[in-house]
Amino acid sequence: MANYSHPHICQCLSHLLTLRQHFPVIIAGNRRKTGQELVEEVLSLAQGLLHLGLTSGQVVAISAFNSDRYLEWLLAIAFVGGIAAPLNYRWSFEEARLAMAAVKPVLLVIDESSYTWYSKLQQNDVPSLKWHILLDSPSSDFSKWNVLTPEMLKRHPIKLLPFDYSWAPDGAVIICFTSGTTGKPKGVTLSHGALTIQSLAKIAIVGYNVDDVYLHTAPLCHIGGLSSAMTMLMVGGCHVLMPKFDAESAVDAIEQHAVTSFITVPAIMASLISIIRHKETWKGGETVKKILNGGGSLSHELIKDTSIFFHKAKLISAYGMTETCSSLTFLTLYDPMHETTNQSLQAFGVAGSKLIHQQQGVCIGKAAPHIELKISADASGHTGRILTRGPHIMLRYWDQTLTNPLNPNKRAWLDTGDIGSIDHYGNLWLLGRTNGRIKSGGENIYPEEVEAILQQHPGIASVVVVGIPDAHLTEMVAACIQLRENWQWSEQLSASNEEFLLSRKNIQQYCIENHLSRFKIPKMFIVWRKPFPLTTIGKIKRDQVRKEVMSQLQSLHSNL
Amino acid sequence: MHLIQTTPHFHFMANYSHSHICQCLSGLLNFRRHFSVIIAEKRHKTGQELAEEVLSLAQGLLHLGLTPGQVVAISAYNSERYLEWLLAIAFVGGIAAPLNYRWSFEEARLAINAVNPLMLVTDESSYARYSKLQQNDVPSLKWHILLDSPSSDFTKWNVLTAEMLKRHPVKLLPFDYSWAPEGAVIICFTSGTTGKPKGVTLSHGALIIQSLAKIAIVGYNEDDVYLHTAPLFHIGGLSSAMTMLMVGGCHVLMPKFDAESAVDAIEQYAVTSFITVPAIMASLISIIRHKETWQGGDTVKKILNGGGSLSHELIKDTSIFFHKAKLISAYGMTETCSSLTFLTLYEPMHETTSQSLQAFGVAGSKLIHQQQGVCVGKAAPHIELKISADASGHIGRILTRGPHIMLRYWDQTLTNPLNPNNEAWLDTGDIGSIDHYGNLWLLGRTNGRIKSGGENIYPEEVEAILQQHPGIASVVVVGIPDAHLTEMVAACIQLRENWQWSEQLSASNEEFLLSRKNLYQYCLENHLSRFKIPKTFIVWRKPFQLTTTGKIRRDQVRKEVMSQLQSLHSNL
Repeated sequence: MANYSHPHICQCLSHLLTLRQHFPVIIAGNRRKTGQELVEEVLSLAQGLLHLGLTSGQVVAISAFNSDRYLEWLLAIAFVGGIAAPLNYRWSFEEARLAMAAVKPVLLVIDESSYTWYSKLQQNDVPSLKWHILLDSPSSDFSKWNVLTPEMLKRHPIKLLPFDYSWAPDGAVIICFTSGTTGKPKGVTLSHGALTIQSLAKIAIVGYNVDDVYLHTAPLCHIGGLSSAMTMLMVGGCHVLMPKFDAESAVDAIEQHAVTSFITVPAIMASLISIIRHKETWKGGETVKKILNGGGSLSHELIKDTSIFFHKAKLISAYGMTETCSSLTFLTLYDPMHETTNQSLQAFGVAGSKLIHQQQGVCIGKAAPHIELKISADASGHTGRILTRGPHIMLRYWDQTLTNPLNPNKRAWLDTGDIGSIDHYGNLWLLGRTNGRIKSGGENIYPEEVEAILQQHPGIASVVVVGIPDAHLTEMVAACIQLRENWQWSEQLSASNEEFLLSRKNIQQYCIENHLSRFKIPKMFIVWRKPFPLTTIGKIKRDQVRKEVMSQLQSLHSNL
Repeated sequence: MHLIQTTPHFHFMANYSHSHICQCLSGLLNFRRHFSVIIAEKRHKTGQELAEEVLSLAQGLLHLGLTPGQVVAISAYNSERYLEWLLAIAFVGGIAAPLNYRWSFEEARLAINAVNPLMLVTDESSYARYSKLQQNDVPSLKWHILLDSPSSDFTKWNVLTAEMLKRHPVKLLPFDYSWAPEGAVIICFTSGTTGKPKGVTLSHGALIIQSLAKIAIVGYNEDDVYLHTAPLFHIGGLSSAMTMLMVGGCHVLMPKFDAESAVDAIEQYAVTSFITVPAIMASLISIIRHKETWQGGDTVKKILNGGGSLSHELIKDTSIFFHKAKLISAYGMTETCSSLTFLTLYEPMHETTSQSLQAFGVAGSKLIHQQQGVCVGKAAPHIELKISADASGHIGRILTRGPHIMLRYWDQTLTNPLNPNNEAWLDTGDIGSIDHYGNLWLLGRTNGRIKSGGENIYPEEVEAILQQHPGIASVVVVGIPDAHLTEMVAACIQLRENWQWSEQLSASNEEFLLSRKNLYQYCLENHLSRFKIPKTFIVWRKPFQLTTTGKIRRDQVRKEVMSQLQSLHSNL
């Protein structure tokens, strides 16, 4: 059949040449590139890969800081029909080895970010590996393989390819790793089609366009960073790239390059605001128009601060996952354009933060137009597992062969692994993860729901709720809390109402006042005096917190 | 070293990662359950009611024995039932083939023969035509469905009504829709160069991604009240209908377009968006202009034009009578499942903040024509375009590729080898260029090109100049045979009210008087190359013939010109 009716992420190269030929589309450190220059780099690299012998369907692993070269490699690999497998440069050697053993790359591309684990790599660790590419200067330490540099690859007459890109089988283009329940990195196979349609959805909902100057705050090895990067390539906007996120550098970059949009997670937003708050002058508030949050809900406080320090920015929160190639639902938290004309929207987004929690769980917005959602309700009614299907879905897990029969009961839907419900206005409410659910006294309790209530308490800076084993209840709800500045914890058993004083009793009272069912109220509170452990994209590692709580309780009991 | 690029290997497995137009049913049930999503004359339907009708109909089709890949032809006026049928057919994996109810019997027979439908669905729009249909005309036909009351005229087939199909306990299907092979869902007919209707096979994927592009660029959303001005058998009407189903907006349906009814509907239902072609916009404005009060200007926010460029006059009138509406023009075709490029002609929100945009869109209408041809805007984000330039430089055939492309022409089998030179791109059949800002400029059709004195002349380019003349209401430029030049450029013009035509050979500069000489002078002043200026002007005193989508039938005009010249010569 005709090849011309399939999507391809390199379709953006035509736009870059016709629409952005002489405009800067890359700002990376001191390097600037126009649309034409970026395209030429990609094509030159693709030609080098062809000469090297890379063929359709072969995997190229890449582990690097964010840079223009990273983007070029992703596109060049896709151009020749290869499959890029971005690795997390923060991984341990063992994690990296397992990931590569799973995807069997023929080529490994790295930069200084990965030297620590790379130096431990042995030939027999990844038998499929034939070439290594170092994005920066080669070092004499690496003599075990054919070590090449990008410049070596490009040593061919620049005869631009006639834009005839190729596809891997099934249109696979990127293997994106997600942490599965086993803890081992799990490869998710994403297609050109899924990436393209998710980009178009972001253009429709967030409003990305050719005039955007987009600051990359997220690593390109995660779906959030990847999806917005692809979107920005599609619209021909300008990419501002930093090797890795650093709040000070980010704030400077926003001002220096008149950044108009960026993505965030709650931890990143908190760190940006903590710096901006202390600046004598702050120009970034004038230029930023779009902020897309992911990886967790923003607290009421953070939403308010964002509307102050980024007063011209529309703030949208998205819910999604790697398996759905990024976002499923979007919720507008703040929209300056509608502040005066739509009071109810403002109420809903900012002042009425409590409204978001009146229903069970946390409201995460409406499905994007091309997304289909369904709740597989259990016996309890309209709450159940969140299912989805459509062109945004991954092709499969990488290690899942075509002959693997899917569960016939669910063959038509992908189970997100989350629990939630859909209200009468089409908003999706998230209660929690299937595997994060706490079973207590025969009831299901979702940590996120409890956290959402406690998070609103003025004395609590952040909170993580976990379930710990209990002889009577099977599991008991425990809350680990970080106190806000100037607040103190009291071990007294009385329900003290002193200001700036927190105790088990008054927090439990607070929960009752906020209509949390009694069986959901934490039985135990632990003051957490260090930062909570986070994943590389800023999500709290609940399982890690749970282990620490268990360990503390164990040692406490052993002292008796 | 010649590296062979392997042909991509795509499996089509009906599982959860493929597109399906019935995906919108979940949205309708989830967040439009109790909202009105259909207004069709006296009938109103909520999201839940629409979804239930579709599922009930789909269940009936399954009981009847319709299987994935089988074709259902449908010829009817616009209605909610039409939409329901399109979705129900798709739900069970069938392929809908909308037929043009304006076709002659012969055209209809040819189209039906091409797609071999198992079922034919009709309403009163098509009785006259299909009563002539004989059993042996379409051997594949097993059932005939009448959307309204049955008539005793039809006794040749199993004639059923829609209600008969739904006589089953309404046990809602568990939303397990099916796919036809390759994800084909609709066969949309376009007039090919041969004049015979040509079936274009469109996929779920193409329809959905084109809908998402319209959401991104036009801004359709669930609050829209959309008036269907275009028939559902054309890609323009189909694509916006699918988009509206996707966002969960409200559909206002009329059997067929009528300017008076449309204007009334816009006011009555507070319509926020509609699509148009130049002829429709002209007829709407000619009615609105004479209304003592006009409330539609306050509700309409989005207007999408297709099927030809709007004249400067029409753009100005639209910005007056629809003063709150963003006016966008799209260029596309059936083979690309609707729009390729979009151009914002007027946007009230940016009127004060972007003077250059206003200048570009309205006052500076001439700017759109300074480059050769007509500007049709920038490619949508997911659309890839290329100019296959010939020896003349940066002008050439407009090519495109991507997920928006048709699967194939229906009668084109998988074994048909495509032109190896173009195997990676679809040739639109149009000629144009892309400027430094990424705007596509359209010069004309490959087959509409006039060869004169060894030069290529595109009718659209000449028309664009003449159209700006205050005395010309509309114009069609054609090429007619000429002994010396191969072809000669001829312009057929309709005069604007109060203007007159003078046959005098002098370059009269009288007001409200047009002549060959002063038009020639006008063309020179507007920098039209001498060889492109029409040699003959013919005053056209009746409306130009239009296609059913409102495009001028240039070939028909040309035939009439040739015929007139022939009879003129025979009188000598």
